[in-house]
Amino acid sequence: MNMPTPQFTQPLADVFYQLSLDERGISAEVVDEYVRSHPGYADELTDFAIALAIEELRGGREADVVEPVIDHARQSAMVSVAISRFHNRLYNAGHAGTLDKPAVPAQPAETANPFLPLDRAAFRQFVKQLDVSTAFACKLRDRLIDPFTIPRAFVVLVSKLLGVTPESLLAHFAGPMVIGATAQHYKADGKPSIGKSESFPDAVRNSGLTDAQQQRLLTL
Amino acid sequence: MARLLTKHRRDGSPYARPRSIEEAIDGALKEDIPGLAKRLKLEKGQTGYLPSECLVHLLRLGVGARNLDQIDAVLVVLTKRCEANLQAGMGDDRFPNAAEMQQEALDEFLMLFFEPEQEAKLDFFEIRFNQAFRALRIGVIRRHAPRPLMRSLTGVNGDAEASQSTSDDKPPDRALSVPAIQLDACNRSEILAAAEKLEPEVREALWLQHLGYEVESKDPGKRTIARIQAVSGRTVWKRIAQAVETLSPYFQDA
Repeated sequence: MNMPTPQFTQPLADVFYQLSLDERGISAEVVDEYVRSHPGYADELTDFAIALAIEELRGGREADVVEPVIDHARQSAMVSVAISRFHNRLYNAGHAGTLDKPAVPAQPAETANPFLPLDRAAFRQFVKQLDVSTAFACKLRDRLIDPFTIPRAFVVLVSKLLGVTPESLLAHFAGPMVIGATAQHYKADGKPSIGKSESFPDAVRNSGLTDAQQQRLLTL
Repeated sequence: MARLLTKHRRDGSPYARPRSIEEAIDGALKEDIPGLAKRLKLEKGQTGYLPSECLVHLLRLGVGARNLDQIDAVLVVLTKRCEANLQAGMGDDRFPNAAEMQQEALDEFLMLFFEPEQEAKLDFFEIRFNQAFRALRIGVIRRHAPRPLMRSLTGVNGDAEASQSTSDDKPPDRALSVPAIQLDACNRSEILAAAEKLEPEVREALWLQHLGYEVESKDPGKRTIARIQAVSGRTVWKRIAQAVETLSPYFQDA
């Protein structure tokens, strides 16, 4: 057998992608071609080929799989979290300068804390429009509520009031807790302190909201 | 025309997007954001539908340019398509921690857009999205349920029969009747679930045969199941016979 010298010039992950994309499908013959090209990856390629074969049996050839029909009106928690993390990463990458120089205006304000531009009067107006207590609004502003537990309908509602996209607002909620980073100034009894984030239902119950306000928020 | 891809095939030739993807990208790039948003709501089969390969390209452009409007328009739809893919291919019928694995796969995919050393992998997703996403999905599955490399283990320990002549080994009768894993079997999921419960080396022998590997060969250059598993042909036949014994009730029902 004329085996070539082991080569690791390509990352294993790339070779997996190549094998998965191979138009001929998965077979011993195809796998062995890849093994001959990358003998150092023989074991990993064989394992991966088995996994591919199982996946094909489960779902048919991916090429034959119809693109999924998605619900544009509904967004799951998993998607919301993934999008929040994406925006956070985008925000961080922008600050770290790890992305290419932008061709459009630099980091838009809406991916930062969307409460930042609100002065005290504007923040009070926001509290009034949302019909919540100041303490509850501060928890939103300061990211003291677990973003995984915030209902999508509530995110949409707040994003409209703040004039940002729901995804940008979720990115804010998923960020680290902050205190007093905004232009608002409140007495101590209305300002939360840094601690463990609350779930949305707990925040609703523990922020001095009326029964009616709690009922409305908890049924969103 | 969309920028050229940088990834290469196994033989060194550069990858290129399928023509239909190139055309979809060219068309999408002419749209303003409202126009793009309209097209993103279309379903496959409708005129103007944007395939996932195209969405990956648009999102790469959006991230590179930090075009928030374009990112917001594309990101939600692409992420929802990934979610649907994961629910079909990584469901809780297979994995007790499916939700965690799905989130991990989704995050891993989306983070490719930000890792300078990883970003080029998105080329694969611009060529054949489903196949590339399948590779990513398998990577997550293997991290959560790693399969032991039996050939390595047996290679270290040695196989008492491995040094014996293999060419004269006769396969057990039952092994001769190994049915290919029947693609059209109505109880396919039951067969696959039962196969998962086989001993790792037995399961591996079964799957290698399914891939088309011969149990053994006189050709010293040929990769066979016996050589991959570093055991004798007789041992492989026994393993396959064991697999068939376990799975035979399902084949009979199929």
